[in-house]
Amino acid sequence: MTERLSALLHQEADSLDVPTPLVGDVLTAGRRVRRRRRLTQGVAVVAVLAVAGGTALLVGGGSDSPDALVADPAPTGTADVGAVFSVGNTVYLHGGTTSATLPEVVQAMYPTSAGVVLRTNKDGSSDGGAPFHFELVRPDGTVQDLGLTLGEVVPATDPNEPYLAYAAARGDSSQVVVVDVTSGDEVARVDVPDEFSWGGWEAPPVGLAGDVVYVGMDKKAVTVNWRTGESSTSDVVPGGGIPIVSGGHVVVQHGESKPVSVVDATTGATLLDVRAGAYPYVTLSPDGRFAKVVDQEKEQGFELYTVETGASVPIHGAPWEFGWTSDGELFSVSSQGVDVCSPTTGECSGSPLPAGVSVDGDLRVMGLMYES
Amino acid sequence: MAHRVSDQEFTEFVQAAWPGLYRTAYLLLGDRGLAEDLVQTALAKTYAAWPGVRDVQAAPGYARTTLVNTASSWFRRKSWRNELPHELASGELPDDAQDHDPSDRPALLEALGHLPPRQRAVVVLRFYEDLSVAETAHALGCSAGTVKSQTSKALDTLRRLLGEAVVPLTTGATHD
Repeated sequence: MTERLSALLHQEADSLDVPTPLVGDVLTAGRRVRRRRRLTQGVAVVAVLAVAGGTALLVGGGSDSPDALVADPAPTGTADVGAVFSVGNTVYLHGGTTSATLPEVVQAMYPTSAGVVLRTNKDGSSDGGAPFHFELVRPDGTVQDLGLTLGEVVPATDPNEPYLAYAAARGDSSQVVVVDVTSGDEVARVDVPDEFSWGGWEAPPVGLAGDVVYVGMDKKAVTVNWRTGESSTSDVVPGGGIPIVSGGHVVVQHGESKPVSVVDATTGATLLDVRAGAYPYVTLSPDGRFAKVVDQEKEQGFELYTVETGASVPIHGAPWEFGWTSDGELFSVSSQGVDVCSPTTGECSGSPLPAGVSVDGDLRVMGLMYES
Repeated sequence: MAHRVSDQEFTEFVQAAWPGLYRTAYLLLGDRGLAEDLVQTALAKTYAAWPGVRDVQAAPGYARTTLVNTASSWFRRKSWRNELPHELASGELPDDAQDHDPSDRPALLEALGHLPPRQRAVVVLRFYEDLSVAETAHALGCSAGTVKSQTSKALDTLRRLLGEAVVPLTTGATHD
């Protein structure tokens, strides 16, 4: 009786041009949901009966609001630390209103969901600066020594996760190591296949996106799922470079005078193409939602792109002076104060440095790379 | 003992399940952007539940149930009608509805757009997904009686808009 209606529905569905799934975005959103459910675990457990096959699946209950996923302007998993910068052995959070003093000079800052992980050493130098030590600074300014000492390696964090990942040499091969920054405990150590000989570090540089550690080997990056121990060669992230994977997105250079692409690190799907002179320099916000695009032939200023929409706004000022907050806002720090800029409108608002805060000295801002 | 599924396996699952879920989502919502958001949300929730999945073969069904549940929760929001395209949200029936060519796909979509969200969901689940009344009731979290009454009202409207050639007068809730 309803065969004609059913046929029309199928014709309509079959005629659709189905978009390519953004698997990286699904994984990122899924991890956010999983983390939120962990927080509410124990409140409710529901049994869900799958329609197909009538198979029972048991899942943890939690928030079911679609708004949190679809219209969420900022990841909920990032730590609220605001504009983070350091001068010497003092780190400032929330634009300078919260501070902590460390036993050594702050050399680099890595955003996590638990706070900011600091890499410190004797004088702040990058090249030849080992040994490096690591501390977690929570949003309230309290400090926890992670009890971790590393040599010349390039570690990584995901702003939505409470982990620090790095690679360690083991004879002629390498291992990926993951540390829970809330406890300092090592939670995974996984052997990495393939060869590493470039760059001059003790072990290959890494990137971290959710459960996946990207390892910059000689020819291609190797992906390691640190929870399962599975590894494979990435067809998307190139080797011979630092595998900077932000929110599951990665920047791919195609060559001189060609567009630079932001792609899904899992599938290789192109999310954004940008052109900016012969040698555009593109970096992503820690969550991967925004791209800072520098035309190196221009004397000043840069463009800030929203990866999802392709919209861009101009930002005035030197690009190397702007860092990122954990949730994707640009900021810069000077003796005049802290400027925080909206990544979607480009509008900046300034506030003076709190009383007693001076940026005279070795100023560093979170979101910029301080690797040798 | 839960089967520990890797991100790689989930990635393969997403790539396989995405087209079917997207088509269902589009028929439910009538808007490509919202359909994409709905599928992404459903798959993210599926990923979050992944460690508790005891039978991977059931994952497609779980994802589809999650998609429908999520759509239902969207429908319950007071602001939902404001998020739909204007022509879908108006709810007013055109005067010349009977003049449409029922074989015309835009006519079908336009007709679906005149159904309240849950009636539309009932039509899609029963006559596109081919679910029974009981399965539809379970997916939408309502009683079988509600599904039957919603189906009857929806078919009455579609018959007015598309004609008896598409929705014969004898059609009823006989699709158990």
